[in-house]
Formats: sequence, C-alpha cells, structure tokens
Amino acid sequence: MANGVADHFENNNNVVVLLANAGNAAGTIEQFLTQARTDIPSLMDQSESLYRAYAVPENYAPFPRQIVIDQTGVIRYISGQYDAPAVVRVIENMLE
Amino acid sequence: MGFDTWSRGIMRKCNRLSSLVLLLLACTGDSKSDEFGVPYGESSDEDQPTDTTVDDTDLENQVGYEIGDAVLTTGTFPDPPSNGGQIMYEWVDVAIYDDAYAVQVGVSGVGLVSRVDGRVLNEQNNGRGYSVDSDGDLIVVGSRTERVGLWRFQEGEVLTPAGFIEGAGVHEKVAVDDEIVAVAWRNRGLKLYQSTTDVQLLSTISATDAYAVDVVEDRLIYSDVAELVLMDISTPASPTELNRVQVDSEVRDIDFDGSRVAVGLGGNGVILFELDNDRFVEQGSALPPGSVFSLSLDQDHLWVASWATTTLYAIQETGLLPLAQEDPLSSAMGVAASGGRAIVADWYQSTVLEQVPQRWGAEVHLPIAMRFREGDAISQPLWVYNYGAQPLDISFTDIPTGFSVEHSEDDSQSTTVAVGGHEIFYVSAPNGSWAPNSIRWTSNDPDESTGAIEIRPSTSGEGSLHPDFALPLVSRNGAEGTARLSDFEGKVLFLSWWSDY
Repeated sequence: MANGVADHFENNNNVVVLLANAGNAAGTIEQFLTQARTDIPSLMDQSESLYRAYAVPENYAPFPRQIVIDQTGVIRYISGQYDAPAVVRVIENMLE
Repeated sequence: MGFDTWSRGIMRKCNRLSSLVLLLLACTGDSKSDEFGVPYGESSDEDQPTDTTVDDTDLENQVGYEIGDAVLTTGTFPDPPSNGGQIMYEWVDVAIYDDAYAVQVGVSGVGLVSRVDGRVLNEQNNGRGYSVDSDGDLIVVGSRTERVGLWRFQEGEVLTPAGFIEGAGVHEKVAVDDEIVAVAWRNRGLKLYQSTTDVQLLSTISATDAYAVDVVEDRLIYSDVAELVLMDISTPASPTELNRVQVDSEVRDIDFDGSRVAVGLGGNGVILFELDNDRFVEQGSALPPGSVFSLSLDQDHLWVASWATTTLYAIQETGLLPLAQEDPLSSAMGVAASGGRAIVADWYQSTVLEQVPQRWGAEVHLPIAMRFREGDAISQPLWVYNYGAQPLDISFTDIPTGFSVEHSEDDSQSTTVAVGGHEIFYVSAPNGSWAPNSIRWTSNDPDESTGAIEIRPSTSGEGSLHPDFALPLVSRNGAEGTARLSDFEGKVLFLSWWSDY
C-alpha cells in the first residue's frame, strides 16, 4: 500500500513516504526491500522503541500500522487497516 | 460501510504468518505499479467527488426512475466475517467468461468463480495473477512474472492450461477476442499474438509505455502513457493506426464494447468516449472516491471499481449519471459486468452486485469512527459525501453529552448535500473526561437510512505530537544514513510500519 500512496504523491515534494520496520536488522530489511522490488526506504527501529511509543488502538493487529504526520509533527491519522484512498484523502486535505 | 469493523475482525484472526503475507503485498511492486495490481492514479487536485456531469436540473427531468437502492450486494465468497481465520485470496482483477462464470486472478493464481454467489469453483496456480480477460473461450492471465498464462474452461468446472506467452520485462493489461491476444508490455510495446495452435507473435506496436488494452473484433484500443490509440487489426500481422486522443493522465484500464470506450484514469477518475467513424468523441466523465483502475461497460451502464467503492453509472446523453454505490467488503480492486450483474474482485472475497433497474437514490459516505484526545477540546472536521443521484438529507442525532456537532456554515445538526458534493460539520469533544460513545445519524439513503459514528478516545494517537526519532534508514541498496523527524518539518510524512514476524 505504501507504493499506492507513494505513486499518488510521486511528483509532490511536500509528501514523504517511508516504510518503518520494527525489530529487524539491516540485512533482513535490505533483503525484504529487494524481494519486494520497492524503492521506498525503511526506517530501522531494531529496539522497537519508536514502535512501542504509539498507543496501539484497541483490537488492531500489530501490523500493518499506517501513520500520517503533518507538517508540524502532529499525528493526523493512525490506522491498522489498509485504506490507501483514505490515506490519500487525509494527506490531500492536509495539503490544501 | 462496515469495513472498519470487519477488517479489524480479520486482522485479529490473522496469524503472524498471514500478517507477513499481507505486508509483503503491501510493500511490493516497482515504482509505477503495485505488485498486487494497483496502478495508483496520478495525483488529482482533490479526491472529493466533483462529478459535474449531472446537476439537479437534469435530475428533475429524468423520467422512469424511482427512489430506491440501485445496487445490491447479492453474494459474497467466502461469506464474511471469517473464512476460518485464514486469508485465502487476494483477488485483483476479474473478467466475465459467460452468464454463469467469471474468472478472477490474484496473488493466489487464477480462479473460476460462480456469478451467482461468487463461489470459487476451481483454482489453479498462475504465478502472481494481475490482470485477466476472456472472450468466453480463451482466458488470458497477465501476471507479475514474465509469463502470460492461457487457460481454458473444461467440463466439470476445471480450468486447464492452454499454453503461455513468455517475454522479458513487466507486462500490464491483457485482452483477447477471437483468438487474437494482446499484451501491453510497457516500454517493449503492445504485442499481438495468435492463439489458435502454438502461440505465435504476430506484430509489435512500439510504445513509450503501453499499459491498458482492449480488443473487439478488428478494432484494438491501447494506452500509451496518457494517450489512447485506436488500431485497425483486421490484418493482425500489420496493424494500422486509425486515431489517437490525449487524456488527462496515465491510463490504468480500458473497457471497449465495440462502440463505447471507458477509460480508468486512476485518481483522475473515469472518462467515456464513443467511437464515431473511428474517431473518439467524449461522452462524459466522473470522479468517484478512490482511484479508478478497473471498469466495465454493461449496455447503457458503466461499473467502476475504485478501491473505496464500486459505482454504477447510467450512460446518458448528458453524461454519466451516478445511480448508486456499493462499498466493498475489503477493497474493490476489479470489476466485470454483464446483464446488470457485476462481480467484484474484492481482495479477500469475490462479491456479486446486482443492479435494480430504474432505481436511484442518495448515497451517504461518512467515517465509521472519530478519535479525540481526552481533555483536549479540539474540534475535528467531519466530511459528509453524497455519491448518489439524489440530494442527500443527513441529520445527526443522539449526540453524547458534552460533544457537539455543528454544520460549518449554520451550526445546525442537519443539512442537504448536493449530488456529487460534500458538506463539512465540526465535531468537538468536552474538556473533561468522557467514555467511548457514538453519534447516530439518519439519512434518506435508501439502504443506509441510519448509522453511527463511533467516538473513541485517543491518548497519544491522532492529534498528538509524533515522538521524535533519529533512526537508521535502509533501502534495498543498503544503508542510507540517519533519518530524524525534524528532517521532514514542513512536509507531510506517511509512515507505513511492517515487520517480518
């Protein structure tokens, strides 16, 4: 899904898309990204310190977790479900 | 609506392995198109429904329609909310085989599907299926491998292999009619094959980026970036160009019925042409929610799948008239229809939709939940969309104590939303503590006359500062240095978490 959002904002310098990995080492992440043939880089949070800093919404699976952070560092969207159109809509509303 | 709850149910049931499978799907694909077949549209100025092809005056002049829900979900397989805790299917595209059967493709391969209830009758391995077409005889399956699979349907509801086409590089959409197979091989051009005995390459039409294609008898239409090209293929070994037309953005899907040409433009919606003496004449356009990567002409109607929903339009002289929408159980990835009956490649399901003739109505679209930080009286916008053919009346009732819901202009709790429009309400939470609750609403949407928006507390979620971070950044080429939250100040940052466990 990150690809869907990334493609949508491909030519928009005001939007950055990153994957973020909890728990894995660099080699594993590199291998995963290669297999996945994605050009999107991933944060490496091996200690899971950042990952655990979120309050996990009740009933959500641990992954995936989709987070949109605004221009001032405030979380504007957090979801444990796949909904690329929703993410795109949230981001577009923030760019208006 | 209802996806949120169901999705969480499924997510809960996922074991870790299937979560991983899900994540692999989420992150795969090249920069232009997702591995699971979602060529996401180019950026449109906004994703709101701004279909201007129909206004209220037109509606008053329409005759023969009665108020009611124009599209019903009449079957789904597996029947939600659970298929035993296993995620079995990830369907991305579908084609009609005949009145009784459809063919669906996805990560798990190719499936023969009943058009009555969406049941998967037979399933075969075909690499990672991505696109499919059938002429009622041959079934052609595009994939995310370098192989295009050919299948036939034999007695006993079994798909049997009928050869394959192999080529270098990525291919996208495929099309077949009367033993001519067309495959869009991106920058390698559009290739035509003869499928009678051994598969044989007949011709290659060079292209910058051949993406979508459809064939009917001696006419072929393909897309090259943001151009549609009409070819005469009566001599398939030497096709001749008849015409071409520019559209707003890169084309993601084409459905051609011999006279009409429906074109999916990703985030830029859909545009419809009619061929007049081999010239493209624009007939209408629409911008449904989400991103259009699959559509299907069905006589004087057009079905459009756009992830977020499936929309049925009536094709009128005035343009595309939205009759109704039906939200998917998972995600409306692909749609194919005939005889007023559509089948949706609905990611984890196959879903059957049926048109109720001569009906139309309002179509409400609202969030399922809103989250507020406790003790923070911040007000949040609540967008109400109307994707239907009639003006939508919406009223919010049973507002929890301390909360308020106010229309952005007149502070009232109800309003009318124009066809294809939206209205904004502001919802605010009380200063003190409060318990999870819900705001109820009523509408004149024929199949969603009432509903609720859950109000949930969020102590460190939406509305709060994201924790600062300084973490290594890794790409498939290796280490990329350190990324800090402050690096992204002034930009919107989308973080998509994954793990391999």
